[in-house]
Amino acid sequence: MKKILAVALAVVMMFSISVVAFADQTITKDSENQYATADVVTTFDAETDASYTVTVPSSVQIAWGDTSAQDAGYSVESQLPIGASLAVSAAANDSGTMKSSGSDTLTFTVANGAATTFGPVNAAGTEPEENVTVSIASFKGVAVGTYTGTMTYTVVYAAA
Amino acid sequence: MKKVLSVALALTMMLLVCVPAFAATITQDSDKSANVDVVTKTTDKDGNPAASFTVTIPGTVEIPWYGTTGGDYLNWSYTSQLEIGKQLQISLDKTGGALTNGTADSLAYTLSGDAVGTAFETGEEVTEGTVYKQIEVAVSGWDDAAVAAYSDTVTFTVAVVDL
Amino acid sequence: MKKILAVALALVMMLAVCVPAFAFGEDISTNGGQSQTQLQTLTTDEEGNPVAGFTVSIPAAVEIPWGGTSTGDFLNWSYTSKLETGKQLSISVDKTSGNLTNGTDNLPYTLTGDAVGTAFLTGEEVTEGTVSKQIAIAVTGWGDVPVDAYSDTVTFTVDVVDIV
Repeated sequence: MKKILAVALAVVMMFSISVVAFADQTITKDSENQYATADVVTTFDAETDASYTVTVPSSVQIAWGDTSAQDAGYSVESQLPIGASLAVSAAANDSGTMKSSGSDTLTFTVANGAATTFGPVNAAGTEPEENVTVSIASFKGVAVGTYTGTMTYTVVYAAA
Repeated sequence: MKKVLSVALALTMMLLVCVPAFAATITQDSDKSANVDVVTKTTDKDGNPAASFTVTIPGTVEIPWYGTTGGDYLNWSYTSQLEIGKQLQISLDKTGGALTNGTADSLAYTLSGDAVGTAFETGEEVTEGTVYKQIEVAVSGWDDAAVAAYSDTVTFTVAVVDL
Repeated sequence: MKKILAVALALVMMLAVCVPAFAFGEDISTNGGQSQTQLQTLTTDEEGNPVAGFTVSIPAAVEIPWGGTSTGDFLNWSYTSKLETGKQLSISVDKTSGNLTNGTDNLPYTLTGDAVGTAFLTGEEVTEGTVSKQIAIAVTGWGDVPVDAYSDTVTFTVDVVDIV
């Protein structure tokens, strides 16, 4: 359905470029033709009618001692003008430093955080081929506690 | 009906535990970046408390008759990775006593070293590897006692306390 | 959750206190607790040699002047011991009397003192230093035989026996 809408929208847009205005038509008993055509046309505002939502985790919780990759993935839903795109990336803040109430620190790293480009239309829940993960390489030598670090997800919209 | 509701509630709670809460979104109308906290837990992936320690003591300390020329020692050790602000406190139940053999004879002994008399506090949450300690055992009265195996028991007590 | 864990921990600790039989040398970990070490002496020294022993000292010869000594003639012997628990020395001589002989004539003699006739039991595992003993030797018949060197042999026997 969305693909059909996109094609129809494209066709209409082509017409909108070549014809400034359609004049009213009248059919009378004297008209050469007893029929006339009226086009149905959609219009849109590229700035206000395009929409997208990139959903990211509210937080990533890591069990103590678990050095495996942790899911920090995001998903994209979008309906943009033809030729527009989204680029989504994720990166660790402060070099991945995680702090606690004590003086020790831990470090986390982000994998698959490089920018991924998405096309104009994406169904809800669309994910990149390799989604973002975070991991802590070692928990050794630090007191057990709640350590917190921050990562930032960034979305860049490119108009058509 | 109540059983059905309780099962449904249990299932819902399980789902709440399993499914992470995706609450942050970036849209065309919002800021184009969002910060997400990466947080460690104090439990391991099986849900067990992660803080741990081990204090290792010998089952028996054998002392040759008349003692060892360089001294006789009770060797013990500890490692720890505790929660922030915690340390180990280790103490012995005596500073000395009498080794006995079930008769009226006995051999007096004294103990000296960390954890004897006053509790030993490690002063840190995390040790760099294993820390080794010694308690000297000084036995006297060898010449006055019949030759036999004399023994006594020393009890170590360990607690986790605040730094 | 924390309150439940605290109660469970308290119960476990109470049970740990109530159980009389502690295992020796068990590591103490996780929730704290107690473990025990046994201090034990060996019956060997640091070179591995057995420590228990004794010494009974007897003279090789007792010289008695002709006619005897006015204050008496004695066979002086002594002992020390450091024995295992429940042990003592049993010392005995092989005769209560006999004859000093030169191969031809005899001088009779009698012995009196500890270890004569009845074995002498020391009664303790450990002596306080050296214990000195005397056996009196009474020789008779000096006027009946020619002057010569008359002799006999007395044998001491030592055993380690139980203290009864």
